[in-house]
Amino acid sequence: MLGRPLPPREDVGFLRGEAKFTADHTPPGTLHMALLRSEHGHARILRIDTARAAAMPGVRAVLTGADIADKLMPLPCVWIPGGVESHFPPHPYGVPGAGFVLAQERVRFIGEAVAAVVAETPYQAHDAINEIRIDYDPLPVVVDPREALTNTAPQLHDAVPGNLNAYWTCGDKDGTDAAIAAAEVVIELDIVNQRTINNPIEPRAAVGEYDAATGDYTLHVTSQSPHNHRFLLSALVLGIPFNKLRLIATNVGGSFGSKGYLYPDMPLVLYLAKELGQPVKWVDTRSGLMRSTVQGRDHTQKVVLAGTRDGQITAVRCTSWSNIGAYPSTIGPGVATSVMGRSITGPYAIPHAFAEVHVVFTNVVPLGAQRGSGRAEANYLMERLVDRYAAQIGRDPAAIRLQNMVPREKFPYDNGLGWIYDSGDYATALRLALTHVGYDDIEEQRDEARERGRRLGVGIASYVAVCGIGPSTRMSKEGMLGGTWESANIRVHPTGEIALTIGSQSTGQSHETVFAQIAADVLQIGMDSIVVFRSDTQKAPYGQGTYGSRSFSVGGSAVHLAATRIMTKMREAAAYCFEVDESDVDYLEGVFSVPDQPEKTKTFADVAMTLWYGWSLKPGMEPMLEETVYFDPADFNYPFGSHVAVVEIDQDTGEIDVVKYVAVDDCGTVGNPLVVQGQVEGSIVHGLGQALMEAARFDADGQLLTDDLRSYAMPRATDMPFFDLDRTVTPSPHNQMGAKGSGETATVPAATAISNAICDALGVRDIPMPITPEKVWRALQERRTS
Amino acid sequence: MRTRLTVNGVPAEADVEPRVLLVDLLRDTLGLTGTKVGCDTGQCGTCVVHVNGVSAKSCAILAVQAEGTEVTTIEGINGPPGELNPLQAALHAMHGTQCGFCTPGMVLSLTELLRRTPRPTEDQIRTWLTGNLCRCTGYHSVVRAVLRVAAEADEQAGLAVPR
Amino acid sequence: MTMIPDIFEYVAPASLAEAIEILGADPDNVPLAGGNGLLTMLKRGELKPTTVVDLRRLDVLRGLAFTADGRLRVGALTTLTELVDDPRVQAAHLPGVLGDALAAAGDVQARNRATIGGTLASAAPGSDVSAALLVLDATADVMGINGSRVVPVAALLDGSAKLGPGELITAVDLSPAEPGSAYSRLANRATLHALCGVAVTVALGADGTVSRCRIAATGSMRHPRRLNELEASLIGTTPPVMVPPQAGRLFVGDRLASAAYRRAMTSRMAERAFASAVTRARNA
Repeated sequence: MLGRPLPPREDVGFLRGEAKFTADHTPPGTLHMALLRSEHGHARILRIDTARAAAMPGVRAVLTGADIADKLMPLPCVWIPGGVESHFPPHPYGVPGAGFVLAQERVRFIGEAVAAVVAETPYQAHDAINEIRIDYDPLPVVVDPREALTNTAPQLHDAVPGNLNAYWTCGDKDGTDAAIAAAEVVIELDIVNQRTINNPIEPRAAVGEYDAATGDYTLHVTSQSPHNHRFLLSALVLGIPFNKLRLIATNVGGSFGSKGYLYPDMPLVLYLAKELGQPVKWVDTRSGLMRSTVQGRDHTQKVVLAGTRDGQITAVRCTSWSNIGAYPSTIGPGVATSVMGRSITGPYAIPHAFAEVHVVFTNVVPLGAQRGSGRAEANYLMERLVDRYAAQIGRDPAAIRLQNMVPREKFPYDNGLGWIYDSGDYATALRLALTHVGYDDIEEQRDEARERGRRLGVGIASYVAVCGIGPSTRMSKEGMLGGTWESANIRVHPTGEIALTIGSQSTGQSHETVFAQIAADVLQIGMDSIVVFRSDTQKAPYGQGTYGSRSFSVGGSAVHLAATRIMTKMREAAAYCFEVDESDVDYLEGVFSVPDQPEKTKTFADVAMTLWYGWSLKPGMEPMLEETVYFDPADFNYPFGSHVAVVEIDQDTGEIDVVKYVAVDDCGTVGNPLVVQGQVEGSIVHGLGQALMEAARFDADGQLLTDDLRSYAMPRATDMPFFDLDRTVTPSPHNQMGAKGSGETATVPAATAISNAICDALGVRDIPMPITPEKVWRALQERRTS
Repeated sequence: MRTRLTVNGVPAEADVEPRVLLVDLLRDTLGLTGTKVGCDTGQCGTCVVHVNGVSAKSCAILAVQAEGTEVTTIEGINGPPGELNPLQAALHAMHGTQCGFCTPGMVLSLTELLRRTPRPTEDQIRTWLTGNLCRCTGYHSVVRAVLRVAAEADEQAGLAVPR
Repeated sequence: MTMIPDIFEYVAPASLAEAIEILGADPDNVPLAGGNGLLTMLKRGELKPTTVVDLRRLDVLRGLAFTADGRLRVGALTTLTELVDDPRVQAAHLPGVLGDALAAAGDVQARNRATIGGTLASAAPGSDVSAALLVLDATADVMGINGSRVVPVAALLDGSAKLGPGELITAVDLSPAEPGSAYSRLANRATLHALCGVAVTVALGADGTVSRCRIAATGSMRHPRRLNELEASLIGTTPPVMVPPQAGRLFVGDRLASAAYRRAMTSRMAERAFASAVTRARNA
């Protein structure tokens, strides 16, 4: 069953519009919350007048920061940059603080929640929000991270001197500096890896319910980590027993990292549901999302590559300023540091490497993960450098990559920055990609395009991406406050049907199908008898959620292990019934049997029934069949691959057509090729968006200029051709299935490959993303005049 | 304001404020939550329904504006429980949905395409889809699905299908 | 969740006279046609009208007809889809600038709702359809409390003949298409409006040179406009038509594109449109 391209079973409910999302949940008696957001990038709140709002029709509550100051704790941050000094706003529990549920005394970014209104209808809540009057005393605003580090910059947090959250480093500084100083060839680049907005199509939503009879809280929420959020909300924000909070994240309409974070609306709807004795619902708008949900990327970098004249890379160095916005998000500082910094050597064996990141607070929306986060930024800088290096020494960029890639026989490979690449064959993937794209006759393709008046460019991006997050102890050293294992529970019913309950949370990755495939594969039973439960903290064993391309390799391994344990017990039970040795029991496609003794046959369901009755079991054997597994991987896994983009440039207008896109990805053992194909295609398009059109832009006041889909462009179906996809399969040694991450890996090289292709077409050193036709046109103009 | 319209073939009547959007009437008053809301400015297409037989974004129509119209939502084009129509079935076979949030709008939009152009080309499909944003699939599986429906239409018409 | 509009009054008058009267009663009353533009503004709080006057019941503003001299008269509430779907329009205008511009205008759902009158009245700087109307020498029938008048579309768009309070566009009147016409543009990727678009019509003389032409730019300037001087300068030229850069002061620069780029692209889009139009003229 594993490895088959089964159309996901959950898709039926999506295609019929019957699958329920958080915003579709409206229990009887629901009240509706609206949030008033700051219009200032930085200001002191002098006075909030809520009297008029409170008197509006249908209004049941108006809440400001002062009202909840002693009732709700600030949001926590649970990923502190590892191993370095760091500074955070305070939190009463001693963990770092990540901003208030509603602003206290000061606002620090436009979009920060300042007040909440609850009314009988969303329309009434909206009207009342308009009636809240706030007197602000505007303070100076800083939006640029390097400016925020200067002596004269406005200060955002009393506990964070100089706005510096952390200065984080990894690698061998002296060795790297020495190698650069001694190098025959040195390539330097200034990079702005622009801020982009995750923009899942479903805006965030939360519905809080409180049962006065039991004291139980229930939160329906758009979360990619419901168990984590349950813990953080109950213990560190609401201060209620863990036992009293249940989270349900039915179906989540995309996330790409952004729904793994705590947001003010989550505790607010719970708090207000209890206060008002009725369910309280909040659903964000698109512009609300764009102004307050975490955003991604946003590194400003100075990067250096050193090498020999004959193509051997000897060192790479990255100095980065990460703009994490006004507050640390739930795990923002970790995303900005280790995931990026340790990844800069990419698939290459480089003797000396060093990365340093200044993590800086400014008056913009908080930063978090976005599909491929950290790794995409690392890939971009390295692969831009490699292309420049190849050009500088007059070598083919593919040849330089092949020359420097970690050879197949060198695995496991320590990249010197903290990652130990598990397994790989980087050169084979690149060669395969080059074959697909027709690299050997690329000059003829170029000539043919030139005859049509167009400039053709080819861009390669080879990558390796740390995924399968992760080994809990290792993650603790990275500063993660929490485990990163994953869980599965398999319960075999007396009928032989299976209830498989998982701890990870789909935001579009077809978990109900793929996880059932794993169990069906091990148990050799039909998919139809397996039901997958998920997304409800009351039903599922604890889990960590979906991020860092971990669900299949980490959560799937838990399923695999649980199913394996079920088989072990069933075999033992069957052998006892058959009165033979376990080693004499055969099991094939749901039937236990003993060779040459045809009367000794039992189906999977027979054995399940036997264990359900519990009669005459083997002495010492417990009745029933149920296994729960908590799987903590030995290490991360490292999917890899090479993408090659071919673009054509219209010389008159600078218009860019991606005419061909080859992706060869290796995510180890593939669970469901149809699902993986979907993840790869979507990932590439996400990267294409960053390369060609997406950018969150703030003005000097901290105003987001791109706060709706009229001003922020995202890829449409017309923006790309069908892709040419292939894969190699190099299993990971760190889990039974040999699986590696695949949910976001193809985003990692996509923006880079397209950028490299455009630079190649234009013959320019660099061109910053997003690469608009005008930028291309200007580059062409400059070439003409020079 | 009293508003009467036909939704999925059934007469519907509601008292709404003039400013209530058609999508809010459908979702909140009539409980038809298959239609989604993804943006405020008419780009995302999650709220696409049919009004008098043509696709429209129900977040850009006042409920009162729909007085006397025939509105069809995803609930109105579904067959019996658990079954998929040919377009939905092709989208299923090609995994043309991931998180599922943009999907009802896509289905409604593509239903109109196939009604107007039973055998659309890849270009026609991609161009038609400019009114629908999807952040998960990268659109390819959706385009493949529609091409498959077109090929099936050819097969049913007895036309040779190049393989 | 949708963004919620602030409260407004709403009427759907049964007669044109009534609609005009209500619209004239308060400058903050606004007409509602398809609603694409207006509803976005209401939701985003960019417009806070007293009364929204829904024109949907005014069937007198629907439908289209050709006059004996080949002009096309389009009722203001005709949607862009109805226009392009009409077999008579297809026969008289496709392929051509009108079809090109209608195909480019927004997405399908927008075209299914957008009306020709609403498109003109909203005077979007990047309207594709407006550029086509300009080169088709379109006029608009405007009706107000003091009666009706005929206004060139160009004057409506450049603001020299603004719609007064209570004035409604009731119909748009288009000249017959030239043998060759076309529209080319670069799109704003987010809105799908024109970042820089050019509509042209062209007639070729017996010697194959340009004997007549009309050119209009959209998206690149504060409002769509005819480029009369350029038109005059191209008479007598032999295709392929090359378009020199236009005076720079006309072009706007913003976050999406600089004035210099729009200026250069106006020439390039004009050349593209001419290339297509000339081919069509020769095939006509």
